[in-house]
Amino acid sequence: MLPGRLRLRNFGPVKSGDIVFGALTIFVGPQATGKSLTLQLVKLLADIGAVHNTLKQYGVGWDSNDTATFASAVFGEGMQGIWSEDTRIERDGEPVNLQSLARRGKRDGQERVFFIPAQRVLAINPQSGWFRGFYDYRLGDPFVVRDFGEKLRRLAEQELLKGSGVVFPQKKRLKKIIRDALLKAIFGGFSLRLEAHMGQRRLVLRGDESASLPFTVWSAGQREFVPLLLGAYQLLPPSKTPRREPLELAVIEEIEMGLHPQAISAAMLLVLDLLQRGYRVCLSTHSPHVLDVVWALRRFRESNANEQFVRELFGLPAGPEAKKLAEAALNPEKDLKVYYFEREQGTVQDISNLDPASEHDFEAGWGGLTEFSGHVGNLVARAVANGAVLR
Amino acid sequence: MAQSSGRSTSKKAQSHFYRAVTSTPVLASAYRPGLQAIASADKEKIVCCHPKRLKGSVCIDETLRPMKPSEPRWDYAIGHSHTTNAEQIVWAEVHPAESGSNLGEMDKKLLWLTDWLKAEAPAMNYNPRRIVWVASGRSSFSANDPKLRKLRQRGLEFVGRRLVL
Repeated sequence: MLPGRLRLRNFGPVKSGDIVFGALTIFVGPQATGKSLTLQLVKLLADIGAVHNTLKQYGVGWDSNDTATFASAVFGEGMQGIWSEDTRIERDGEPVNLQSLARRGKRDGQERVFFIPAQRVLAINPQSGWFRGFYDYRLGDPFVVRDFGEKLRRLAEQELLKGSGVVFPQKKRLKKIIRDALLKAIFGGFSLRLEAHMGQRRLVLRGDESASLPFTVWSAGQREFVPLLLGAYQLLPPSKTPRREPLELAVIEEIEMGLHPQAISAAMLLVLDLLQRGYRVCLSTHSPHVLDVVWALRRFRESNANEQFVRELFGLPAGPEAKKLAEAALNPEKDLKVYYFEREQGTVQDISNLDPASEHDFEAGWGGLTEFSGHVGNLVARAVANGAVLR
Repeated sequence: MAQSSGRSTSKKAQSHFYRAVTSTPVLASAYRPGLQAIASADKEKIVCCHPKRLKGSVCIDETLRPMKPSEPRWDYAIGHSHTTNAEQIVWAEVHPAESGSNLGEMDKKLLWLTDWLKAEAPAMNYNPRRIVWVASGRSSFSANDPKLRKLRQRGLEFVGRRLVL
């Protein structure tokens, strides 16, 4: 089962946190404050059997009481210290300990969480332009990174290679409004294809009359986004089936990586699609643009705004597909939660209201994402008010 | 009436703010020590962590209401030492920040303040100063909203629901 609520004490850099997950949950905060570790913990708790099975399948072994080796295999080399004697974790009110998670034995092996890590660009080997499987990573790389690469490799071999060679845009993959938005904002009209070059299969971008562009000449944003898109393919099957069972939760780290704000908007449409299909979604982000979207959706809901506002927010055309997507985004049952992982005290603050006028700087400044911009603006105002430089 | 006497009078007499207020005819009797000019409804919105640094306050809105009932009057002027020896005047307006029309209202208030200072209160028209919009309720503008940027370019700070001096 997915955790609905997590209480953390002394887990890595998190000294204290109480997180209630919504349909969409977003983590913000500076580097190394525990956002990614917490998301990896969610994966571990929800999919413990599948994690054990995958590690075993790829020859990773540990004794049942060897929690340090298990923690390193899951969270990555050198991370065994994040779960110390002082660590206390409660999942929906029940204590969880590392010993019980590390213990070998028969478990439910279903996978409910699909994790798209921040290091997703590593899933494609830049030399070959093809996918890295679990074995192609270092032993010390975090489980979610290796597992993601393996899942894309399998997707390519089991689904994409059977098609026409065009990976994106494909008629049966994604809603047309989302395909069009991604094609324009991220791919600049180019299609993503599989082709063989001197016998080596590889991913390329190609325009109608242009030569194939290999991975190394793509823009940084395209290199970051293609693995994310293929991860979304895993979650959004090509048939009319809304979800790929038994997956229930999509975790996407730093969805904005390398993308221009217009492209971030297009990528956020994927999130709305996931929500519409009944997935829960967890994001981590350093982008005020992502929080702009959440803030707008919260205020639209409070104001009983109709779906037209959501369409306008994303520049979507009128039509039944866009209407349904927008209406789902306004569904009050799909609660939107935002948590700020702050560094000084190691706490996790609920800033879901995103009130720009809040007396708490961390909420008004959206966990530091707009704080600098507001600070710059007010300093400019002060300089202008004085007609000269500040004294 | 300016509430000053004895030893505190001589202290206030040294304050640039006190001298500026009392030499502005329409405000001469409006000076109040500390933050006493702030209306009770706004007391939680304008606070000072170091009361000794306050040089007094004036409620412009209330003072000028009989003379300019229909004008977009500014709310408060506050004298404050933002460091141990540097005094500033803080122009604070507590106003809704809930819709685009509030931006237009603040624009008019800012224009009014500038014109009024030049025409009727030149003694109060001094630097350093801050001109600050305090949201009276929830805000519809994020901290990086481009519409706020336009007002900031004209000298107006937006500080959310509370001004902490």
